[in-house]
Amino acid sequence: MKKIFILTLLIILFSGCTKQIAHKETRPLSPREEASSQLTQDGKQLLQTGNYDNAIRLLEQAIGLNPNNGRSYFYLAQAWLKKGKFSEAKEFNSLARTYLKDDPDWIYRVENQANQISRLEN
Amino acid sequence: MIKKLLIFGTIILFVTSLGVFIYGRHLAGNVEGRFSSRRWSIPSKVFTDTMLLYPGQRLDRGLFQKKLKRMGYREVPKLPTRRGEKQTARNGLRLFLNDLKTPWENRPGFPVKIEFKENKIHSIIRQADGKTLPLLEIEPEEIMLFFGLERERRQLVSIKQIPQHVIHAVLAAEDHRFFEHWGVDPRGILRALITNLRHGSIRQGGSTVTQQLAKNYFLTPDRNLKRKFQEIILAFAMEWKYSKEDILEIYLNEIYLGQKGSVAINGIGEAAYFYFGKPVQELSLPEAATIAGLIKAPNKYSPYADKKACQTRRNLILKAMQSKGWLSDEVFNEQIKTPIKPVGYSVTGKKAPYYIDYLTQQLEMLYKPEDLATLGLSIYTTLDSQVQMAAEKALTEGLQRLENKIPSLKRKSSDKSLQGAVVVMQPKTGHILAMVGGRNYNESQFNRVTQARRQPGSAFKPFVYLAGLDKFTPISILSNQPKTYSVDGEVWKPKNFEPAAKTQVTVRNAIENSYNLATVDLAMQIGLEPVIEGAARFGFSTSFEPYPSLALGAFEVVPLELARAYCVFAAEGILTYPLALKAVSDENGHVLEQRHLKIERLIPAAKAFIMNSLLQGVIENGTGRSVRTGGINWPVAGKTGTTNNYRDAWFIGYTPEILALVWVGFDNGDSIKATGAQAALPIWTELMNAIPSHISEYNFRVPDGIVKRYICTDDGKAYISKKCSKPYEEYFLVENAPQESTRRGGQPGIFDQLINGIKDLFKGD
Repeated sequence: MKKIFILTLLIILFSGCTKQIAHKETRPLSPREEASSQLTQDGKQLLQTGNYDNAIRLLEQAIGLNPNNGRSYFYLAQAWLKKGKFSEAKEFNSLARTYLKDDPDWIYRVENQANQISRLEN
Repeated sequence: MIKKLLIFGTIILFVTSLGVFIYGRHLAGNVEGRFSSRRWSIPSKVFTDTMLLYPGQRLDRGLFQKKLKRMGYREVPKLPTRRGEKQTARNGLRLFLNDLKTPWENRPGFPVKIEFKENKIHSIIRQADGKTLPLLEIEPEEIMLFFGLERERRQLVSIKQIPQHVIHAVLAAEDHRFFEHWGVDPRGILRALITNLRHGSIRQGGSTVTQQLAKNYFLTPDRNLKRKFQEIILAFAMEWKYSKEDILEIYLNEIYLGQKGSVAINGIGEAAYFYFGKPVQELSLPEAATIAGLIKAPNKYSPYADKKACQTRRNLILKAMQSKGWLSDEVFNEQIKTPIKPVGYSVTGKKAPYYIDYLTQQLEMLYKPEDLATLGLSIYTTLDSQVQMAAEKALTEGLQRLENKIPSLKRKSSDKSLQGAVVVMQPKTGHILAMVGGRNYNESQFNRVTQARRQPGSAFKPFVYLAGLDKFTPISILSNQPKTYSVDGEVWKPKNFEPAAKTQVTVRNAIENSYNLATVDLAMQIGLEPVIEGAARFGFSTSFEPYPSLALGAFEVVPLELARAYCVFAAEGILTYPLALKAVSDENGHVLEQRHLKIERLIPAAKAFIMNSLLQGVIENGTGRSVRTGGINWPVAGKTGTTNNYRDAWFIGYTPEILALVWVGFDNGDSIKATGAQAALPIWTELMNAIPSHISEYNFRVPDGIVKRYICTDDGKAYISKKCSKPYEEYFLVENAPQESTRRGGQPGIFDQLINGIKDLFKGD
């Protein structure tokens, strides 16, 4: 019984500490963040149609609204990669990694993108 | 004899005809030359950024309404049915958007309904299908034109865009036989003579549209026989070379149609907007007749000058149209009763003049001034006109308040008056949203944001603390005792702004309260060279020297560079390039120049976070406390600055999304007798309260590489103690955080940690 109590105590304590350090966001998106996500989505679509400059413009607007929008950085890196500007692509890829680090699916994509950038750069 | 005379006459006629023919060909060549090159000088236009609206956005409705008014939106009492109309209700706004035309987007205007709830946008609904829009982009606002010497405004229109009733109105007023003559109309001249003698009906000058064009466009305004002759030959030459449609199109774009302040309104496209706020395609019949009536004497018949004379003249044009069969009797009788309702205009001074000067310097590296005045470029900027207006207002009012509070700051001569500067930036994009380089541009064009060099005082201290973050933590102890330093063989003895009771303080305490002695102690422990090397990376153009006074901001900096350097903290360690110019396109909408967000990782995100945490402490517990009494209740980091003898007062405050720097001082370095917190900070809070749409109210993100520890402050020093009644949480870099395992047991016990852990679970960041 004592062991179970201590174990439960430790689990609760651990969850508290994890919260302190990981700071994973679980709250709903704010209106600003929603608008930023919408712009990112629009930017992604332009990227898919090959309209890179316009995509960059929208993605920059998305960052203006939400500077922590990791996906915007990812697509910005993608746009610069398509334009053959590798140093820009690298900087934005590194920012995408910072903001998407807690999302395994996205971090996989970010790493793939980083590999692609280095391959094309060399 | 007669035969000889005939032969002689024939020769003379032949030679004269040949001469006229050769002269005509020569003029025709000139005409072609002029037509194939640029026809008009079109001033380049400068635009703000587009504005984004979205549901949930907090908005200052007053500033938004003013923006719509500046953009030419007209209030109507009914549901808007045409572009540029708006109807304001208590809880909403109906707007018929103008076309959004940028090099990137071409969206026709459409009607929307914007509903507000407690100063927030509740919904944006497209009227056509009732669909709720997640985002709405409002077209950029024109803020400036690069005029040449002529100071002319003109919006070119193609003949295909001009409705038939507009053409008929113009021809009825000026040359109803235009499509029948060859440039010169003998019947017209004869009739003009008769009508001039009679002094009735419309008096015509006898000059055809082609002749008027020849006169206006190609020649100097002389009045003599030679000139009349040239005019006629030119008219023939133009008719020979060009079609009637071409000539009419040039004429309709060329004619002078009024005056807006010191600027000439030329061409029917511009006039349609100036008088009726709409494109030429949308002019009604009486509106078209009004403009046509202006050609004869634009300022005499202007609806802005004399509505009665304007209406009489308009009705004469309508009558002429009726008599030519271009108007039925029924329509005529109906239309002459229509009142003339010009849209109105206001001649405002230069908008955002300091920002424009800063922009112009950059543009002049790309284009010659004469090209800016003639090529009709569209220049897109990062300016947010609402932030700009709010910054101008906050600065003007803040300086006045200060003068009222301290009357000795008032100066008799306005060129020596108390000055100030504000710059507002988006830290992560580097966009300059607003720039106010002085109190009154008309009195002083010196831009104190970009051209001034002033001592930053304590506003420089964060760069000293940053340089120390590898060895010092927020709880490291610094000496706050008076010390004497030897500088170039001379004695230097810094003092605290106010005598401090504590002789030893933590790093956090020192920056929050802006202790000079502790900061110099820190700088000397780090070494001045590392401080200089660190600061130099932030892009200051200042050449810092290794004097201890460096730590207290003795070296002058450019305010824009200081703002940019602080952006690095707000942007989690990223250095961006300040952007004012976004893009330039030619008159056909092709992009000539485009500037994008450029970033560089300058310091680790974790170090930037520690700086943000320390500078948030300045607001919560230190010299920036009055931000909280100014109505700001969301997370802010910031730093005050005051220089020796109160020469400069600074406040730089920021959130993750926006940063604003405020400076107050005299150009000649007189004392302003107030601190940064007293003089600059209130201007900052007033500005921030006016631009709620730029604030998310979220805290700074905690990046990797940061840990929290419980610290004790019982005896005024921060440390880990055995007995602690007031533990608090402090952030540390992982690499130099006090090890939890080495704590001597004074930290909160396991039960306290459990309670805190549970509390954290229910507390958002």
